[in-house]
Amino acid sequence: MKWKSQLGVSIGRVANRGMRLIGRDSTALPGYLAERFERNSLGEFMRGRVYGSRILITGTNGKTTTTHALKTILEADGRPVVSNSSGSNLSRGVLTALMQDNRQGEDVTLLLEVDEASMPAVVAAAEPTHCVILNLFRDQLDRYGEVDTTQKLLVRALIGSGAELILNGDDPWVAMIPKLTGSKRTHYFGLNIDGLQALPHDFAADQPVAPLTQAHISYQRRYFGHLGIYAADDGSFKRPALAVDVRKFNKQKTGQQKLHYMLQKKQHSILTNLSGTYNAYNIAAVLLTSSLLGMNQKTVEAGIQSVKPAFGRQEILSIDGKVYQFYLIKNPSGFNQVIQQACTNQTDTRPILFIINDNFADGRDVSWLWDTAVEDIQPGSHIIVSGLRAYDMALRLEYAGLPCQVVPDPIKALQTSQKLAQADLGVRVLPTYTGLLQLRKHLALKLEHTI
Amino acid sequence: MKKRMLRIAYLFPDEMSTYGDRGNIITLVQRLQWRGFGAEVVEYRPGDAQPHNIDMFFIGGGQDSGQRVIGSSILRLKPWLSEAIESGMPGLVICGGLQLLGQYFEMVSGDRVEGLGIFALHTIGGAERLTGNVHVQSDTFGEVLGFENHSGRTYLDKPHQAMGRVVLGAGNNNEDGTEGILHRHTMGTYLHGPVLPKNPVIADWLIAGALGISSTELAQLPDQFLAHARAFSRRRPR
Repeated sequence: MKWKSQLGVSIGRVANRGMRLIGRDSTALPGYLAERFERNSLGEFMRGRVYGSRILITGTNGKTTTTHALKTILEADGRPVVSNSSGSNLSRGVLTALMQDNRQGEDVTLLLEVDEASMPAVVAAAEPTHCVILNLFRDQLDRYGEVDTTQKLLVRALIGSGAELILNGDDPWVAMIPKLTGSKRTHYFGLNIDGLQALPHDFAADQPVAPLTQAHISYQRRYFGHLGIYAADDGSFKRPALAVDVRKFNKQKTGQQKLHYMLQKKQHSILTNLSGTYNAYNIAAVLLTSSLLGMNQKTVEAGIQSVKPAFGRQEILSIDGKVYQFYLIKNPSGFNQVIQQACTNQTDTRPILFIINDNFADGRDVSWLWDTAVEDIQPGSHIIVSGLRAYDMALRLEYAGLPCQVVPDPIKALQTSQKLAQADLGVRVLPTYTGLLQLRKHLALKLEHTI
Repeated sequence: MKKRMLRIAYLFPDEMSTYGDRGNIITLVQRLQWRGFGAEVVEYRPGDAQPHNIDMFFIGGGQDSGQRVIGSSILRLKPWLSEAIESGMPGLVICGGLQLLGQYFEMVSGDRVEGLGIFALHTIGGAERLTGNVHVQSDTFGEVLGFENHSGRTYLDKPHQAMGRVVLGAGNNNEDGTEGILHRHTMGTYLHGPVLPKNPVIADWLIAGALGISSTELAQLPDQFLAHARAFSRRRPR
């Protein structure tokens, strides 16, 4: 019923205007109201709208960072970009973002970060020209279900879509998707790094089987989780040839990371503020996508160099001369990457503050803490645990043989860890999502006080 | 008493391990080592030779795809596993593992997957997942706390075999108030969390069984965060 969805969109628009009038920005409410009235409001809203490229970015980890990086370089190239850069990535968030930024036209790029569960609806509505799938990991199983459920959702979304698929070739769950959808226009990115291997206690792998034949998949090399170089035992499936592959990355004295990679059989290197293995994947995805969009290599490299970490992702906040570096943790594979990058270096003596909540947005189930490689945290680290499930984390650490101090209130815990920090070195803060929001709000208030 | 080395068989660790199930193995190994016993985890994968000299076994929950893959391998393991359980070897099976050891699993489509038939129970697939925090009252273990996330509804042929009665949550089937099963010295349950770290009384019941002693003969451990962790999780909503 067309009138219904049109009315739904109108309701959303009114809500959006209303929110603005009272001085409030909303990232999802107008879209939510429209969808409450008619489920296909996004499809109705998109009908007849014109954009040049329509790019969707999905996957368990790295959506926000990758979208943010691609947006930065597209804009550096002078292309107008319409995006849900607030990170509100369900279909209601996408609809809200589009209502708030009305630009369209052949020169405008639509760039959307999309939650895996919203992919069927958003693909149907947006008819993407390019679809990036970064990885599939176990993530808040009580909300999303298991990896094979998520993969089925993406397959359902992409059957019949004409989009170019830009896929992580090192993740077999992602790389096998074209075999299940019949997609022909596929491009893969990944890593070819000899010295890189998973943490000794990285058990966050969800081992898939070969598509169609169900054969066992064996790994020649595992970078982390189930990402690596692999082949099915019956020869029916293996890691595909890579269009962009990262050959080496290393940390510079400036704190930046230098990345060496192959693109179109030529070797290149770039500097970036985004470090760690998972960011090497995110950047490889950005490099491959921008090359498919025909962007100038120099613009791309300059753009990537200027990208700052996204909200809570290695982001550094400095307040009252005190430094906090935030590493958002949401699921075992992301947590393990943070451990590998920030908690295994003997020379890093900053206290580690965990804030573990189990609110709806964090996932109610805290079982995932036991799928993480906390055994690989540098022994002797000063560890403080906080949040609604502080004692669950303390128990996890106890069984890993790591002593810790429990301060359930996050604000008090922040003060405790700051006192333990040496001079101006600061604190490593590892919060779940709502813990991050809570601390950010507190620090922002302090920031206003000091001004 | 000479301190022994105990061998724990971890069956299908790649396919049958989700929701932090590995935490149960970590808990068993640490509680043995803290008391001065040796612990060796013997991981059994499809195609491996039958495990031997095993003192205790564990099977976790799995994704549908994982359970399909191990179908034929676990069937080959049936004589060994059945003999081990009936002769009183301590064991713990979670979620998908519990379903596999039953008579059969009838899916929503009506298709039937045969189980190993060791537990007197069967499971019927449900459209809606049963998800959330669970509190169980057990005659054997007292109050058991965990988190459940399953779509299968399990029915016990002999309801008195239940591990406990549900106080909060759905349990086996969201109808009859039963949770899990106790058969010989093997416990089956839908509880993740994982179940052992916050309910070490169950871990110690398994360990004592493997040593052929009573739990009360085991050395006390400090468990310094346990009471708080249990109190906090008791207060969280369903």
